[in-house]
Amino acid sequence: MKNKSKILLIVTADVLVFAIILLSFAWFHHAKPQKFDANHAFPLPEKRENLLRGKYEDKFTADGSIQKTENSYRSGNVSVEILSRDITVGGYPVHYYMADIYIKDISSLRSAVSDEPDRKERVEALAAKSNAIVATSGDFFVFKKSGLEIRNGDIYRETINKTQDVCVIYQDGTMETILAGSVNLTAVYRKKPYQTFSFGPKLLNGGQPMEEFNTSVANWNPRCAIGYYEPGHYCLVVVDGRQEGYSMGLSMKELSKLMFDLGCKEAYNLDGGETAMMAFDGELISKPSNGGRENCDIVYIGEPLD
Amino acid sequence: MKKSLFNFNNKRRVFRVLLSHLTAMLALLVLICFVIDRFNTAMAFMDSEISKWYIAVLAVLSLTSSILNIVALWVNPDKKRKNRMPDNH
Repeated sequence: MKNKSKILLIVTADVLVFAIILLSFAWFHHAKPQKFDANHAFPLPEKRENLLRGKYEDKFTADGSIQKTENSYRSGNVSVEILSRDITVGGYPVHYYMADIYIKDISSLRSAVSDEPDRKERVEALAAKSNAIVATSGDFFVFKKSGLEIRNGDIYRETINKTQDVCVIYQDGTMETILAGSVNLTAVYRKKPYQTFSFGPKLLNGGQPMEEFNTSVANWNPRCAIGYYEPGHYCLVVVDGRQEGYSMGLSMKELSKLMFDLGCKEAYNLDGGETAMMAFDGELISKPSNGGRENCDIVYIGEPLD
Repeated sequence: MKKSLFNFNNKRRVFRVLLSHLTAMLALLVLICFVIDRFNTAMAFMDSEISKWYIAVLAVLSLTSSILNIVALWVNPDKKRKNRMPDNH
């Protein structure tokens, strides 16, 4: 009997010590916010070209005034229109939001990172703080150990995750999605990156929908994605999901098809699940699964920087 | 003194018991990381800096444990054999 209780004691101690080891691993691996000493490596030039080169002038106000409606925003430099659509995919209802974005200045496509001590904030809170016109969740990079991260021209991290596709938006307004294992930092830096995201996967290949993806979360889920048409013309898409009778979400293949149907030339998946949220004019407009959750970064559109 | 599984009077024995348990726990953690890394490669459970440190510590513990075992088995095999005989208890 004495030996049995001692064995029980040792097993309990083992379990406790193992729990401590496991929790410490989880804390250091993905719960502890990373500290970054961002290097302002790619500042925007003071004089910047009109990305749209005079096209789509009807999207903007001629006198530079701001016109807002419930689902649109127009100024002399930025045009955002929010589309809210119900579709049926595979016999199930799906609801998605698309922000159709036209910007003249690349500095209007920005990213913000939470400055809270735990680096966690809801999308709408970060959007309101940043004076965002429209915002979606980013790629949760603060809680990851690897992945190329350049935000607003500042290098946060240069470690490339060999298993993740990378999205780069350059200062000239072009967007490129690069397959995992093919990222060439020298080539990326030569073209002056302004934003990079390391989440993925890449959703379109040569403008065509894809069948296979670098992801382990390919089944039906709430989704968030960024799409590219041409320099100055982008879209942000949030697909609600995990809500029976309202919206089930999309598989990666279906999201790829959706981005293709929306006419994108390039598209990239951002952090989805409960994090997939869209805020317009500082208010949450999507219906995230379980009410959504806090995130550490957003992609947003704002008035251009001086 | 009677030798039992729970005789911790000998410091060397305590060290070896702790070493074995810690090695087993770290090995279990590395195995868990290996399995979940198959399902979610993006999280880099096996490639991150912290994972590398855990694997390195596991290697050090395993090496120490192995050396102690090799020494115990080969340096004095006669003593070992005697210790196992019933009249020595």
